[in-house]
Amino acid sequence: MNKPSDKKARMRIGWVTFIALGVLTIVEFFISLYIRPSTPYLIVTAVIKGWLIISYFMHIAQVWRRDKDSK
Amino acid sequence: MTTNTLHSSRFSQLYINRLGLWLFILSESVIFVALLFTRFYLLGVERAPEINQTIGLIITGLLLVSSLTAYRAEVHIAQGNRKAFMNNILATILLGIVFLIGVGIEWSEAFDHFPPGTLFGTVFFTMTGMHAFHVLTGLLLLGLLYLRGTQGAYSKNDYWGAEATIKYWHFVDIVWVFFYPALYLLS
Amino acid sequence: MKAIYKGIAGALIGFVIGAGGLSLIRILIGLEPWELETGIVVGYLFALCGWLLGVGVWDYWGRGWFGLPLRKYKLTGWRRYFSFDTDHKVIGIQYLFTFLLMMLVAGIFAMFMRTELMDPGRGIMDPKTYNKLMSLHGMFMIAVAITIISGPFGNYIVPLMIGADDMAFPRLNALSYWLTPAVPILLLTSLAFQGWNSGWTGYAPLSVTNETGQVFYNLAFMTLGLSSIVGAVNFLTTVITMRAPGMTWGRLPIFVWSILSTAILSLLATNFVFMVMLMVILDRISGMGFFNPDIGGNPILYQHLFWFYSHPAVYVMAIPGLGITLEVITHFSRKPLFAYRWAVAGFLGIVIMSFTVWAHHMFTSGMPENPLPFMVSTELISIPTGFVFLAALGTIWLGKLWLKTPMLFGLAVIFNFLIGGITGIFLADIPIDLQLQDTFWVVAHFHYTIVGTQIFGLMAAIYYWFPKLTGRMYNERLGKLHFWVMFISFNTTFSPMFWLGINSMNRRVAQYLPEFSMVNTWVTISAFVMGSSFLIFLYNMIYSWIRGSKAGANPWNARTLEWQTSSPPPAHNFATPPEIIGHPYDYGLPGSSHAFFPISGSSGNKQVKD
Repeated sequence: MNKPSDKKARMRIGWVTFIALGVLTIVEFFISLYIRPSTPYLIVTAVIKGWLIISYFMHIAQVWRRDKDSK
Repeated sequence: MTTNTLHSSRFSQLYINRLGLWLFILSESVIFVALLFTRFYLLGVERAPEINQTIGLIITGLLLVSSLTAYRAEVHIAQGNRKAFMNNILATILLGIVFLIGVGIEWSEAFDHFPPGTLFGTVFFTMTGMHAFHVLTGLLLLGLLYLRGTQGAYSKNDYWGAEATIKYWHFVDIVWVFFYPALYLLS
Repeated sequence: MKAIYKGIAGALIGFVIGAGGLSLIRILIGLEPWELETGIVVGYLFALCGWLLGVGVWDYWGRGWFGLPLRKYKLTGWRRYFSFDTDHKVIGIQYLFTFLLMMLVAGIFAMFMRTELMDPGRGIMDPKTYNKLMSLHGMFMIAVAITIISGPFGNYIVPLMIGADDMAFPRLNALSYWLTPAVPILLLTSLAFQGWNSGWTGYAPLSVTNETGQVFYNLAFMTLGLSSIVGAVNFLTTVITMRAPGMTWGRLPIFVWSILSTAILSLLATNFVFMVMLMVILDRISGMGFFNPDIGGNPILYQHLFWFYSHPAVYVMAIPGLGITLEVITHFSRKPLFAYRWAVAGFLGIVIMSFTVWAHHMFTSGMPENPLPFMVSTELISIPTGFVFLAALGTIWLGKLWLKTPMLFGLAVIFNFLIGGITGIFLADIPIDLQLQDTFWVVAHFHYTIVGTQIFGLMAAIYYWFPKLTGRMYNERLGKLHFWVMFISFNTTFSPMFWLGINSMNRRVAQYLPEFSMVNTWVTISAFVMGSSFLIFLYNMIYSWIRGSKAGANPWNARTLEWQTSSPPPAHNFATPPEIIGHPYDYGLPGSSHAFFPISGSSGNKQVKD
């Protein structure tokens, strides 16, 4: 898990997640203020964004994966 | 986090700590669910038109960037790159402070338009206040993390304290992911 | 004791820092320097932190945050029980003593209430005092009921039962205990600020306009909530990760399942009440208007949020009592637990369904929502409850009953819970509830479910595990005497209240129509008998703890793991870590065994059989 090539991949995951979050934020901002505010759309976007953070920034998969990884 | 040695568990101490932290975060998220429920129960989907959209978008962006720097810090310490770790933690702290300043500016404007004695003000100040309180505790934890870092703590094999603090910081960001549209964008 | 002195000093320093800092800020932004309730709230927040830091968090934990070496105290004997000890067995005993003390104090409040109710008019106190006493009794007992099984026995027994050497987070465990002394202290301090009269439910808008004492109730409830959340995180992590090898989910003792279900409920529900208590405080101190209809706020919001916690909370109270009942009944019927899987499904079903029933407390509140789904879900929740009930009955059926005191209390729980459950169905029906709301029917139903399952279950647990906790046997004859006095007087106290309720005697009112005075006198006398039964209990416990005969490791010849180690257990519970090879309750099944200890110190491979 701690190989240097791994580091690049993990950094890329971070950036991609960040950009996706940013784009979603800007899109929801413009749609709500300049086109037509829509509650269901906002809820869906928020859930997607929350899921992105939980799974890619916070690695929730670590909880289901029962590896006895070294500390 | 815990120094006790436990010989009877099939799980690593790291796994146990992680599970505990996730359960704590789950429990803590209930506070914000209750606040969101309150917001919809009292106000429906109404919002105050006077709310300052520019500041709202800027502080949202700040918190998002700080989540990225926190993530980068975790990747760096997992590789044993302590210098980059410390720099990213410092950047996260600074972004968090600027976020709080942004909330302060927003509050001083909000006092004129919808003070706490109005219904939207009640909801707005409680929600942003509760979130800002969590940002503040997150900043205190990050500050401790930085302090411990300067003392030479954390290495690539032992960074649970850093991981926990960073997970908490991401959680604070998730809360804002839900609060931002609920306060600024709905109508 | 040193830890407690340091804690008190920390609390005083914290209060001065909090309240003083607040005054400084208020002066700087041009307000009056002192405002009572804001000062209390902020001061309390800092005082609580100071108390925790002083009592041991700083020495055992906080110094590590700053990279300083931790300080550990090697205390022995009784001094351990007054310190920030991280051994789960010490914490269990601390919980037990604290909450038994609270229960006795709250019981004395109840005795005063009953004395007042001897007289239909004005008895020994004026109606306002009565309401404050009623609130105090309610909140004390709620704190007791939420904690008194999962706190003491969850901590002491659960790690033993699953074969662990401690809880997953020993220091968090100590933290969750040392939060609780603040609760009774706050509630009693409220008396210095005129107390509060809104009952344990503290409904808005009364709680917003009330005297200052109300704030102490809110803070106490928040503190209790914090403690139970921390405890729940710890229990869940412990049961998930610390089970001994071979202890699969299907082999978990039923009491552990009940504590696990309780922990799920506390974890997911408690912060609702934390938030709603905070909202009341914000309404009071910062002029917000969550519950103020003048600006569009809504008092019904309080009830929604409050009951979204507090209905699951009554299952937090009842489930551990039922878990102990099943545990005790199985061991004393000497046969396998009937329908183990269905009992587990019952607990988990209650957990899930308890989040769907909260608004049945609000049928008379005038809420705009349709109440019908809540009536249906409330009646449906009797199905998983029925699983548990039938598991108990099926276990007794054709069993060789061993009628020791714990078993008697276990059987009493079944009886009481039946009455409590059936009378609950009346309350769940909207047309009947409209009649019975706020009458003594509700009081009787609530006490049958909570005292009848939780406190009787607690007594079963205390008698059952007393030999494990102390290494000595209680006096069986006194135990049985206590049981019969308590059981009969409990029923003669609370069953007439159903009649009073149907005849519309209001609860939470000190005065009533003169025609009820005969029944109320009877109830009061019964209540005093019930109260005095605890004197027998206390005498038995104290005497047996000092003079009782030695009990040995396994006086009940039970199979679960807590009995397979010495009484009281050694520092890390088991000399060698156990391995689980079978179901814990296979009594009478030839060749079955629950656990063995691979290299047991003296006797080689020791299997746990009948």
